[in-house]
Amino acid sequence: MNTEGNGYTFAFSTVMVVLVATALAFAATALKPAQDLNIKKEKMQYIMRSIGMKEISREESPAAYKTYIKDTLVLDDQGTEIGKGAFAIDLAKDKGKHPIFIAEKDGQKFYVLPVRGMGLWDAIWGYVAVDENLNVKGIVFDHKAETPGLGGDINRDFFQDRFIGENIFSTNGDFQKLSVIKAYKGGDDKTDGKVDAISGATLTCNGVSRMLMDGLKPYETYLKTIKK
Amino acid sequence: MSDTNKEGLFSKSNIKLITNPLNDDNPISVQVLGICSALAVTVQMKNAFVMALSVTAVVAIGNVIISLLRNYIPSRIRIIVQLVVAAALVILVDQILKAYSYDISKQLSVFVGLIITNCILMGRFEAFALGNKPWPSFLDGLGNGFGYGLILMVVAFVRELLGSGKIWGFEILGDPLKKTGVYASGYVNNGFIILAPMALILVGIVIWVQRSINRKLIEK
Repeated sequence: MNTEGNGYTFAFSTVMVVLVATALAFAATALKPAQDLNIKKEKMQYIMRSIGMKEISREESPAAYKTYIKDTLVLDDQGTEIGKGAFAIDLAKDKGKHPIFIAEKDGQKFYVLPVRGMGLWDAIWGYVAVDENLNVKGIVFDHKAETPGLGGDINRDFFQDRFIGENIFSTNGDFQKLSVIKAYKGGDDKTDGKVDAISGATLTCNGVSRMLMDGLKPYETYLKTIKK
Repeated sequence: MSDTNKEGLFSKSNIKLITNPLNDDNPISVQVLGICSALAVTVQMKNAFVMALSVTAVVAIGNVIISLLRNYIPSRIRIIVQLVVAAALVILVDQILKAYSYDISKQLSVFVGLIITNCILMGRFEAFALGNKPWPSFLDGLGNGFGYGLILMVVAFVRELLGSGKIWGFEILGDPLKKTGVYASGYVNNGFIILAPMALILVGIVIWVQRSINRKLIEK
């Protein structure tokens, strides 16, 4: 067989492309449900961790989500309620829609507010859980590709715990941004909304500040109505 | 090569296909292939290990496929065919990891895609699989994957230990934040070693050490 002729070369490439394309398309379709389920469970895991269940595994999360999440809301940019079904909202794609998850655990009410922004290298995202006084009760961050050991540490407890107790509104009742400050001198001051940054991760931490500012702003009007 | 049929599956020359890439013909330190990913994934040993496993699987299976097709591949488009085989396998690995091993797929994120551009794949397809039978090609793929993994683990060991004070994720030097263990005496992690250039320097040191021990590798 002459494997060097033009006809053979064309035939070979055509058959190869069709076979490979079919195989990949089949694999992608067949595995899609399992992949989507993982992403869904992970989102539930983030939300559960933000309301204080830090050790929850991905597999346990759907059951816990069902137990503790009592209601969900979707707000538009002005803060008006436009519907339910917050879980289906993907912040990366659905612009102008801001989901809220309302959880009740051990008699305490939590409002979980998802945020999304950019770190140094790629996307970062987080879930901020506040109580009825708008004190931060828990915060969970994660990232796609921040530097391991530096910016990548935003998803670790030592950093996330620094936010606990900070308030989204300042003492005189105005919206204040939660922000991450390099070489923060305020110590344990829980009224100013500021926490210490991770050394060596300034750009990622600036991204976290920006994400919290832009991400929480649309909730301001709504949060004012629930504030006790 | 006509008597290879009578050879045992693990004959001397076949075993050599696995052991050679570990030292004398190491893909990273001797063939100088696959350096790019060696820099990217060696910050933590766990990631380096999974990366080495994935590369081994892809090279071994890819080698077999290329070897089976070797008499049918038109030589003018052989590089494209190799690329298609590599890319298809990598996408499959990525999809399967996402579906059944989500945590690992998250850790490896972009690196799985980077396997496609790993020069070891194309290097072995072109240099070995195109001219050899499937079984030796499979062993050659395994051997090169192991050789790659060996260097990766050495580099990752040093980088994880000096860069973050851990081995395989365990804080063996103490907690840098609470200042326990060696950190109590003022030791700090070397943030520099986490950056990619230090991996290159470490690979250089590995090559130096290897050639000092194995003198036949030194070019005259």
